[in-house]
Amino acid sequence: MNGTPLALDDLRVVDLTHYLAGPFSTKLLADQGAEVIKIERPGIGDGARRLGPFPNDRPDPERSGHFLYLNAGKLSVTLNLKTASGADLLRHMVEDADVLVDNFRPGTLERLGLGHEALSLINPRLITCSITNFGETGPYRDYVADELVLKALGGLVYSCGDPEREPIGIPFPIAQYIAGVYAYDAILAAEWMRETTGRGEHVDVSIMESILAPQEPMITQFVYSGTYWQRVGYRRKNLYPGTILPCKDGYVAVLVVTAAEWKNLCGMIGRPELPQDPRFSTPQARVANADTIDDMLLDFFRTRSARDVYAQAQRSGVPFALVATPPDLLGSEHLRVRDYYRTITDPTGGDWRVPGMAFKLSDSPARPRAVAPRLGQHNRMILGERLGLSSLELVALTAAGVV
Amino acid sequence: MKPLTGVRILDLTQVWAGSKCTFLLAGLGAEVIKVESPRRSDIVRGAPGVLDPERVPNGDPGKRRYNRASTFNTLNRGKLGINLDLQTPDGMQLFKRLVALSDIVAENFSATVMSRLGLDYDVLRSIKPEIIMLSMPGFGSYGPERDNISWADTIEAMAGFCQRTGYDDGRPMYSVQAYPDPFSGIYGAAAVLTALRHRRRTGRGQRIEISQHEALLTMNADALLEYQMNGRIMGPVGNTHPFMAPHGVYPCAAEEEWIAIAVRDDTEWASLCGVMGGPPWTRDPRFETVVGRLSVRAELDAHVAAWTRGYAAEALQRQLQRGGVAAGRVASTRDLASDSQLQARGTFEMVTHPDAGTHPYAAAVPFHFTHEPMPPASPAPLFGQHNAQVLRELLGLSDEEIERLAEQGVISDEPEWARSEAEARLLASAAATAHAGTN
Repeated sequence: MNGTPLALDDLRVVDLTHYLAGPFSTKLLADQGAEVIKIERPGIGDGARRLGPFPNDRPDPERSGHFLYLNAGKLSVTLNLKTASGADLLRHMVEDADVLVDNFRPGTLERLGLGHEALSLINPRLITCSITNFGETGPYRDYVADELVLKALGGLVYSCGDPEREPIGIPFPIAQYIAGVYAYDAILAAEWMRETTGRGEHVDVSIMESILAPQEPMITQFVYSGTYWQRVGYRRKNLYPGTILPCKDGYVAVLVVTAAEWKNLCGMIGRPELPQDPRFSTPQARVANADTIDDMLLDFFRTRSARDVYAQAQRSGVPFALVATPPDLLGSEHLRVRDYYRTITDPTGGDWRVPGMAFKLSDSPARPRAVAPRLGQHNRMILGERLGLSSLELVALTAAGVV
Repeated sequence: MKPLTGVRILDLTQVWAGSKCTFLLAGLGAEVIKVESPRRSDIVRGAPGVLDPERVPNGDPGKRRYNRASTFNTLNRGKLGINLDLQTPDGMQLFKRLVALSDIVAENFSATVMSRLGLDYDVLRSIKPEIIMLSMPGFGSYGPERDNISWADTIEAMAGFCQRTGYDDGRPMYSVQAYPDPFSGIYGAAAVLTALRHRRRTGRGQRIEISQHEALLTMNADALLEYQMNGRIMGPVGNTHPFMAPHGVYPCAAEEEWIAIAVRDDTEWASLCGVMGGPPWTRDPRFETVVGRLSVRAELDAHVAAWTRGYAAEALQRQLQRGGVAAGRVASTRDLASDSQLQARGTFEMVTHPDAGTHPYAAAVPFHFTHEPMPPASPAPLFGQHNAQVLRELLGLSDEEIERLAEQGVISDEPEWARSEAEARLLASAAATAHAGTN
């Protein structure tokens, strides 16, 4: 065991989050050593328990892939915050907590009497963070949304896809994930500030504002010059080759940015005379002759695997990439050498490999925990041992639907 | 107050991912000293031949184009700007003296550059034992794919995202949204804040390594799990959703106006039917349940599209949301710049830049502290703007010494590439004048 403490192992987090954005932020806290007490609805739990994917497509709230990935290393306590007793237990819980995170709809905690001001009276050092779709203020505050709607309003859809067709939203939940990373930033910044002010802040994190990040330079470009990104479809319009093409098996991401890279590519496909050919000598000329370039590349790719084309290109100084599939990623030698994946064990003993840490710290390396909690697994530990409820009280609260 | 007041970052980052990281940290109050090369500058100042021509206000490059570039002026607000030629002994020595006065050194070069420069972590630590060093190469500092040339598109493909991006014909695409760059930067800030806290508790610095590839892969867990649990490879699906229908992007009245609609359950389906005024086709029993709707997606989408075509996107968004349907216009950059929610939230800060003029920019800190709102970040530095200030105030150099450094090209107020460009322009105009003179 490493002798140095984990960076956050003295932080106690009360986690009211569910689904993806909030749980991702508290997962990042847990991975660095924070104690994260996840509060779930009695009998039902976090909706991510029903999201799957499930082993062999058999739904089981203890084996949902999303839930396991996002909640490994947290403690689970069930509490009905809509009951007076449940709200009261939460108030006890925040007495010695550092952080409380939620991703309910705006105003939910205030309505339950558990907003920042109310909890600050109990613990003025408590940092609270609310992650919402559009923020706690403004005309969209009460809008309903899913990933696609968030991405659409946040500018991640308009310029994605084929100009001949409708725009597309990329189908993985990066809007919610990146809001989770920003929330982690916000919480640690507030914790840093608390060292000086002695007071816990409230932070309002909006998913829509979080996904503006890729658009930030583009907004300035629009303000400066009136131009902005449009859909380009399968081929980049500003440089070429910039496309994705099939090989004997799988796809390779084809990209040439500099003149040197173009020359290297021509050499690689056995056409060293091409850089002199005026049809291909500038990025604009190559855009105009994209069909011819594709034919030459496809000719070379047809008999080779995507992995071989990618490896040969990188060896030749051409920035091709493998259009990696899950088996490619799980079998990656590079990621194996870097010991990237971690293994999560579900309550029936199944082992699943999931992404590891986004950053490696040399002196306080994360030691992520491997098990996600069963619904209410830590009720006795937290409510009984720590808050002092007797076994009989716990039974009564369970019967009353509070726990 | 700003949280990171008193924290100093010596910033060698460039282009996007690294600059985004220190942009956010500057917004949170860190003093960021961005160190450029007097020869190359940060290439997003518009260095020729590498990326798209940078956009400048009103298309006018002005006298100093490198101070008017949109990407640079976005991602470097709140920072001080100096340059030092690290290939010269003087430049290197000054850099090392700045390391001794800094808390963090940040860089996003490719994996071997810092050690080639003689500035790897061990060297930095020998200058300042508690230094925090952030490195963010595309594929990490070791491993067989370490030396991959990486652009945002490369990371997107290698992290498994292109394979899931596209229409439902299975053909993968680039998203062309470049999200791997800023997302790595946001993770970079997370790592720095973590390491700062560790140092506060233990007095110890450390080296942070972010493989941008690995950082992005944290957001692709569901595909890895679906494959392990069920052997399925999740490919491109257009705008369809496994449990929701209708779920898509539909055309509106004006060209290139679209609306995204997501009907999450049967209650919301009833709400949508209500907003549409309950046309007869909605009473088709196949549309009644989610399972039914999922099985006739294409037909359903055609009906919805025929209806949305009659409306303006923004008005339809309001109407659908009033009816309780998850919907939003597909916002272009132009739409974002005037979006009512972003305006109400103070997302844009008016900033006056001495060479670029007064414009709104996206806030450095996109989240909101209730008690301590973050004031707007200062404009991005002109090239070399703070050379004299930093060298004088932090390192105690005299004006004569600073002048000597400028004469020797260790520091400069103009990138070398721009100087050659200006010379070429001057020569061309001299030639044109000479030519005109012969007529």
